[in-house]
Amino acid sequence: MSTKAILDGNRAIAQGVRLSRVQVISTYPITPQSSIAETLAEMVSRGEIVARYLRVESEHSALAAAIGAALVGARVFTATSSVGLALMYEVLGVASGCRVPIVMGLVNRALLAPWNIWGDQSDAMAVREQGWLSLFAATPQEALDLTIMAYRIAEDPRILLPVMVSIDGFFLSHVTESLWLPDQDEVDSFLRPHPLSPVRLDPGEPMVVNPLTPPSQYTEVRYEQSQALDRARGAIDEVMEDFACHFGRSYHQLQTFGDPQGDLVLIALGSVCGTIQHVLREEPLLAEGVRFVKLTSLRPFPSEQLRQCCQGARIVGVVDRAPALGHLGPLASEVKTALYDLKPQPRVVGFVAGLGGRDISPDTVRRMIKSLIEVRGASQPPTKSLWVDLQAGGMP
Amino acid sequence: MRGIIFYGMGGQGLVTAAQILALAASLHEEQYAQAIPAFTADRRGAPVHAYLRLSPEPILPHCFVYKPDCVVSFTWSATPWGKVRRASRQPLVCIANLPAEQTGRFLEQGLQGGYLDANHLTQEILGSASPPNAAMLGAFSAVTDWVNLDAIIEAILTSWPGELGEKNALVARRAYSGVSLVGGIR
Repeated sequence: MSTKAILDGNRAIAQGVRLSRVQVISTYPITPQSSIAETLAEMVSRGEIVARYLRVESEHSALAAAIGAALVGARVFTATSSVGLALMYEVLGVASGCRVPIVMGLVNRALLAPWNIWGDQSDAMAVREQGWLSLFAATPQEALDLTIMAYRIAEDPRILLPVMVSIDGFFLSHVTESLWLPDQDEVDSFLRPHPLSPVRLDPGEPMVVNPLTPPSQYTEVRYEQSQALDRARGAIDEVMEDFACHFGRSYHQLQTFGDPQGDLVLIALGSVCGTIQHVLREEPLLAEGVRFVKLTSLRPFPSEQLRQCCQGARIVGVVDRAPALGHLGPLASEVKTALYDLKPQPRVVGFVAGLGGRDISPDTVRRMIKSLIEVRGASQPPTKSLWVDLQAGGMP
Repeated sequence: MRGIIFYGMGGQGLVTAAQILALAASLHEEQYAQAIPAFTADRRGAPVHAYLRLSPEPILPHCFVYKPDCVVSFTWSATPWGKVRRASRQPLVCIANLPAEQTGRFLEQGLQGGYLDANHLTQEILGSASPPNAAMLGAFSAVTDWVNLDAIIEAILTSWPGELGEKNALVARRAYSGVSLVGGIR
């Protein structure tokens, strides 16, 4: 039976790792992820997790060691943030290319420069073409639940891909909230022991993993990867449905709130989703005609479901907690691509907000909704992302 | 849903105080709670703040508290009173840690809520190096009644097992009965 607990996002992820009976933990601490690494180290030292805790010298080594452990068949966890993920970059594609079902807790933090230790989603956005599944939690409860679900999805023999579970640095990682902590028996009935992958190193049957792959085969291997990512859409739905049956909490790759007939749509990922829902609930006049789409899956991108959610919309606003540099913000670009074929075609407006730890306040959310209303009446919608929380006097 | 901001100095335990209140309200009462530390490069002696939300329903926002219902001032000079008065909901409940000779400040500002010398009370029971957060928790319960003292005591004993918890619980009880109430908030 689940018990009520109060945990921050980082400790919620650590509990998800414990309940998933992870066998190898390979992490290198970095703000704001450190308390995941520390909490797991404490759990291992107290015997609450029967796992090998690898003390590595860098994030590059953390993921490389995680790949090695996964290749011999262990259930593996790693976690990082920002420049730590950047240091892993070379190895990210090795994990997905070797089809190892690693789960990573990614505590979203700004990339440099200027130097910054606070939250935004630049890190997750910078690696979205590396072949990993990428899920975003909006609360500590979701962080815990998605971590458990991530193993079911990653280890599905139809998928066999690594999954990163993102939580917003500080706004989730360090926010302590009430949540339900499942007990071990419940999780055991949902998440079975790690099935041995056919791609597995075994001294009894030696084989080479990731050999030099010539042009005659490289494309086909990449194509298989893309097929697995496409299949993951269905697998994620199945796992989320089964999770709801076991635990009573519903998850979706995307979910629509607000006025279902509204011709204005706002789309976001992560912790800001709750703030947007709060503003829409508290201010019915402002919320009139506004649909809100909360995205949980960035990879695979739920394009078809998004098209259904945006049917009949005139203006679609997209919140990017990452800078728009030389083009629309990353999420706005994804959404615009997905909606290109929709008839009638809505206008897509990108918003950039909440960079480097800046709070996305209710006022910022109101500003975005008012912008959507203004764009609805404008003859020429903006073609560049709107940086909606610039502060007067904040320029260098 | 109620929003509370704690102001003070690094080392006074106000981030822990917000977390203990969240624990008390969430696990020892039927409330939902959310504690948010200030995300700054904090250090002992520098001004810091923390936020808390309490609600009978699940808490949706994941942003800072901008219009508090209550301000808990661990250090008077580290509390931006002008900003607090401009931004807060009315009536604003204030709880201030003030030495006996400075309590006039609370009344001069026309504040409502309560004040106590949390440093002095803490020093009497726990010694001079101890943070005054348990005292502020007891005062918070007495002034607002938003989280019951028994729930706070339970949370204190969970957070600090053993003698330290017992002594902090005593501090909280003394603060609960010793805080000077102003304005009949309850």
